[in-house]
Amino acid sequence: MTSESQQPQQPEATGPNGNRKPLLSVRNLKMHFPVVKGLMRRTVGYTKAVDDVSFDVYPGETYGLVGESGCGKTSIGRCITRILEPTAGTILYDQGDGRPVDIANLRNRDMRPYRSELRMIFQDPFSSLNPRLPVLEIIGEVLKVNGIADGAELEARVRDMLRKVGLRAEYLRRYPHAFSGGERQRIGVARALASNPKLVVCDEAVSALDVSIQAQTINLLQDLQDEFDLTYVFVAHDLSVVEHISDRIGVMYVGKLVETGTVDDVFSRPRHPYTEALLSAVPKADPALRDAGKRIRLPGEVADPSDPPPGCYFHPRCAYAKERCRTEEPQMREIAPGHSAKCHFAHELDLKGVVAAETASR
Amino acid sequence: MPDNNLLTVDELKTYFFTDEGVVKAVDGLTLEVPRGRTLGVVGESGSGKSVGARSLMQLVDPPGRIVEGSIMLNRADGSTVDISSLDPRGPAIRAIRGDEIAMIFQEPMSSLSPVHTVGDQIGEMIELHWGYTKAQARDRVLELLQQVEMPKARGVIDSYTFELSGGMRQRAMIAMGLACDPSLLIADEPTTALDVTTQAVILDLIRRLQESFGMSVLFITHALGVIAELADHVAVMYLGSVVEQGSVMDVFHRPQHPYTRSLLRSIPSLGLEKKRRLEAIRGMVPHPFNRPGGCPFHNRCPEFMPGVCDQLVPPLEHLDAGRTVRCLLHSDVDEVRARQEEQAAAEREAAAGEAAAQRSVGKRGGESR
Ligand SMILES: Nc1ncnc2c1ncn2[C@@H]1O[C@H](COP(=O)(O)OP(=O)(O)OP(=O)(O)O)[C@@H](O)[C@H]1O
Ligand SMILES: Nc1ncnc2c1ncn2[C@@H]1O[C@H](COP(=O)(O)OP(=O)(O)O)[C@@H](O)[C@H]1O
Ligand code: SF4
Ligand code: SF4
Ligand SMILES: [Mg+2]
Ligand SMILES: [Mg+2]
Repeated sequence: MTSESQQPQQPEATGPNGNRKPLLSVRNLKMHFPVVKGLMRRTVGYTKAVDDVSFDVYPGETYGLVGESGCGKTSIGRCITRILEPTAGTILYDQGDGRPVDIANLRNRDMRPYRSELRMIFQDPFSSLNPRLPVLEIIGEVLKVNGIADGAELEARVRDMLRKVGLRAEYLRRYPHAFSGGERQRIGVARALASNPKLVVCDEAVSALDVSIQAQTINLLQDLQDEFDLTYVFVAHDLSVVEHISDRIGVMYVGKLVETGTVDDVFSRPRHPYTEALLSAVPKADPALRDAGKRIRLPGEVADPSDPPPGCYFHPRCAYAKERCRTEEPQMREIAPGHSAKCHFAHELDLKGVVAAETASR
Repeated sequence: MPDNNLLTVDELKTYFFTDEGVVKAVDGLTLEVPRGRTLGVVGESGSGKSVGARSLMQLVDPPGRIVEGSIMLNRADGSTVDISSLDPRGPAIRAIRGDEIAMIFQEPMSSLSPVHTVGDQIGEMIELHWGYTKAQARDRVLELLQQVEMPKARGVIDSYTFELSGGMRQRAMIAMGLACDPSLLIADEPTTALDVTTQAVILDLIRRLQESFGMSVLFITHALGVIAELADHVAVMYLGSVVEQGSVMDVFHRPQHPYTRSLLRSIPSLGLEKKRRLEAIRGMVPHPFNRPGGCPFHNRCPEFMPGVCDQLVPPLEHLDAGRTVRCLLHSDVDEVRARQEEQAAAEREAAAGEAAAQRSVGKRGGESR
């Protein structure tokens, strides 16, 4: 481990909401999983799923996290909701009383009051709901466990929640198997929101859904955000969906954030070669754009997070790599206000963003 | 009849006869796969894409079977065969499978063997269909692995599939699909499980191979963006039938069916009309046992015509060349009504006749079903 990675990184200069303080301040977060081998289950190394990641999330915004599978998106979400206990780093959570609490370093039992405020919606609407519990108990569990509501009051709140996500209140005693994929995802949303959370991590929450159900669910999440003043960390691999829903985003590559900024800045003028390649790979839903712009195709494979290459992790696949990239790890630097990239040449490269599409005549 | 289509599917129906009832997975599938081009088939989950594709190779699992329709394949020797009439376990279809029509799937691990090396399993197909020796087949496999741009092809040929990454497995499966130089490659969601960066590389590869081999490709996906990137022609499926077919430009820029229009409006698209609210299609795809009468889309359609769309089944209408649509907005409603009422009357009569015949059989003490 290099010494510079131990220094606290600077928070991003300006938030989207003027001077408002971040709701969540993630600093130098690490989540390392031991790699064990053999009968003796000896630890032979570490998978650095999240490695020295820092970002801020402001109240009321949607912060998108994108990157290829295995780059650490889910692990970050699980650290924030403390499903995982981070290896190192801090996650300052500020409810606005000026006394932020460090979620990353709380003991499990001290974490309890925050469990109802920091919630998660999961990817798979089929495996994430306990098949043996009726909807009432699935949604009501968090209220009961945290002593928020019980009995008739609990039932009333669950009914209310069902209505808010567009399900009939009569479904209360049904079991998950009796619902379609889209309906189950609504139950997952209701479960996450029942305890009036401040922050919800949506981990690929719409990825498994059909096109028409996906649109309904995205609209639902946006409506509920407005109604309850929610903050989202939105994890997805579909960049079109992330662009649509996010205010700011972080692009990840092999456990590290490589670019952060507003979604408009990052998508229209990417500053990191990996972001450029990612955007170029997204299929555009307009055949007229088929040959528009240059196509970047990444050679090779994503690096192994337990054995990353030296220097810039992206250098074996980067079209702009120079000698320096093979030995020296680039630092995250602000290139324009609120827009940072982790590339030695971020200032000088002229990278291509999303080709502005002509609005198809539909 | 000389025609530019390699495969012509007409009113194909594949039903599953389950204990709970009949699942009409494919219910009137009509499509044309042009020679040397790519037909993209797009539809939501459960619309019958996979069952339709498997029907084209007579690979439907029981309790499913093809109950009606035709699948005409124009063969290299100029003859034509109706695949739907072949015995699913007979030699005729087995000679077509893998040789003339090959299929690749979303999850390579389900169709690649974990206990044979990549070289052995692809080679075996070539030995079987082309009568090559082991050594000849191995040369051909190496050539194929190079054609699919497999990294370190000489090493991969002796590897097992679990030793390969997702993108490499998908390449191995494509190589297997191409092994016998098929005239039609059916690809069922081959990139859905891949990351966008790997997907882009595989789509480029399929496009290049399609051009250099001159084969036809039937590409199945739920992703409209993938269709827009790859297909020459598009068929849009809903509840077991093709609701619209046409060139990719026509379907994306001048969609004629309300379902296609709704689909296109419900997806977020990079750089397009930022932050507009998505126009979701109301409701959801009906349960397969519970399909609505009339137009299958009528309970979700923004252009629903009461008394028409819930009563009449939209017939296939030909617009201009190669362009078809199944929507009553494009039909002469009075004519359709007259035709369907006539047909219903004829069916009632036939049913009454049959019932009477069965009653008399019953009286004679015959077997009652
Ligand atoms: N073996 C089976 N027995 C009964 N019903 C089946 C069987 N296989 C498929 N079906 C039904 O047939 C319909 C079409 O299924 P199919 O797999 O073709 O959908 P698809 O369009 O490929 O969907 P997806 O996008 O999810 O792959 C569905 O309603 C499905 O439940
Ligand atoms: N519980 C775990 N134990 C060991 N390794 C894990 C665990 N969870 C995730 N990983 C590894 O950490 C890396 C990042 O995974 P993940 O956060 O799930 O990525 P993403 O959500 O971006 O696909 C991967 O290499 C994954 O295999
Ligand atoms: S630091 Fe070098 S290798 Fe890394 S992204 Fe920048 S140019 Fe490419
Ligand atoms: S037939 Fe009627 S319900 Fe069906 S798509 Fe056309 S307008 Fe809509
Ligand atoms: Mg994940
Ligand atoms: Mg399928």
